[in-house]
Amino acid sequence: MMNKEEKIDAIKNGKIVRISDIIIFAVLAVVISVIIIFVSMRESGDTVEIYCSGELVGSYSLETDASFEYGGLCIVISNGECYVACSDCDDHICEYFGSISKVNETIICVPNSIVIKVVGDSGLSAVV
Amino acid sequence: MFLNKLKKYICFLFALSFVVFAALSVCGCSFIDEDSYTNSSIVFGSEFSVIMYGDNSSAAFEEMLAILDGIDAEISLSDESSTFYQFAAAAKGSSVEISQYAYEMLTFAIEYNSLSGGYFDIGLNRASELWHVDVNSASYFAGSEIDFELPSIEEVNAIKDEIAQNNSQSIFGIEIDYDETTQTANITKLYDNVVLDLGALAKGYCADLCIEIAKNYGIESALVKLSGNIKVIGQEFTSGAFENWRIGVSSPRPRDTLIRSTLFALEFDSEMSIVTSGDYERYYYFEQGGEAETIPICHIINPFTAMPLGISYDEELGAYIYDENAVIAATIVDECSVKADAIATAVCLMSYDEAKDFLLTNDIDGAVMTSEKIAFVGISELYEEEVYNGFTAYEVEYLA
Repeated sequence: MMNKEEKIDAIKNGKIVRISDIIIFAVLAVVISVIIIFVSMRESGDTVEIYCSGELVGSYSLETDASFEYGGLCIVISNGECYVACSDCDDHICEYFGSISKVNETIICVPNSIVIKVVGDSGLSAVV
Repeated sequence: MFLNKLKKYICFLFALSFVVFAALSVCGCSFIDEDSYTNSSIVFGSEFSVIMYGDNSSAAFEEMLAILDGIDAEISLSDESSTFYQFAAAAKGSSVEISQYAYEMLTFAIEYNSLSGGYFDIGLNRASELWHVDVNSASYFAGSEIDFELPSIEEVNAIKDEIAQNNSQSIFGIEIDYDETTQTANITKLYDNVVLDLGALAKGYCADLCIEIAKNYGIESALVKLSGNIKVIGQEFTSGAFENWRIGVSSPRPRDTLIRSTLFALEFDSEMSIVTSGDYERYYYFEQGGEAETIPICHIINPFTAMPLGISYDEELGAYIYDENAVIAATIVDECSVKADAIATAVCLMSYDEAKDFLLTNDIDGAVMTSEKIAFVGISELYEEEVYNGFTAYEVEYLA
């Protein structure tokens, strides 16, 4: 066993990693890996659904680029992402939502009562 | 001593986090799928696609496509060289030799004509042309400008009488001679205006045929889709395991949308076919002008009125009107796809109550809907009803 002075010297010279250091590294490693897993598992959507006053008014594929107007919003689908390019409402908040592409991401325009939502793979083998 | 214990503890922590990380990555990213074979093509002017499992899938698909193309070339009413095009143009008394496939389809057509009390009719092409909903009218369904007038009620009634006359002597106005020894079939026209459109049940018939071909190639699990017809055998390999096929049915409303939401879904654990017919894919709106309303004209023609689904003529108004209570879509579930195809079309032309009674009396499973109501006949269990529930806004009935 080393005495106290020897230990302090060893730590100062970088020969011993402190137990508390290792605990911090371990915790960090776990946290980072969990974050990475959750981010990579967030599923990209394949369809955007547009709701007006809570009622589904249309669905559009994220795979096909499109640009159209609905309820005063200019909705653009491009490169698998959907965003609102312009709005006739006063606050323009929906324009600042940016692009959405992952399942359950939404753009909401309160003045026009419109919700745009990304949905994923339906889980069905086929639809007739 | 204390230090050593802690060191061990920390090593364990590291090992544990590594294991958890590895396990999560394996679950998340690397399911190994059994090789599925998928392919698609265009047959009868619409999508034909397959999912199959097995080494012979590619050869099976080639054979399916060759046979389907052959049937298409024989029965097409848009291709001038087809047997049925020439038969349509020929005069009364003419006869042609038809293939075994066409003969079988005609036999089925006659069977389902009588089963449906005449609602299923393959002799309606002249009425379809009159209303611009025939095989050459796809551009109107796609939204091109309506540059014609609707037919007058006199023209419609003339075609109606013609359909009745064609069916008076024998169903569809033809005589069929089948020679058992040579296995050849001939059909003869009894009237000049007999036009046979086998397209009305060809997709269902071909779905059955494709599944038979798949079985002949030793394929145990397959899905065949021809436009509104799906037939499955076996199971689907998904997320690392074999699971029952899960088939969704598109919601007919809202009508004008690029991608349809799912009305409901069903799960199949054995050979089964599901066919949907309705007024929401091939239709256009016609503005009659004046006091008369704008009406939807769809491709399903009623043989008893020679008018499209839901349309009737208002004498007082002197214009056509649309019945808001008309059946707008029907889904039939049956092992036999050709039966499901024919019955789905026929049921769309009945009134809602008539349709429910018809399915109940004939022990046929399916769903019938109007713009406000939906009835499930013989279907008690829907697949994941909490997810696929586009029907909840309707008045729902379960009949068994």
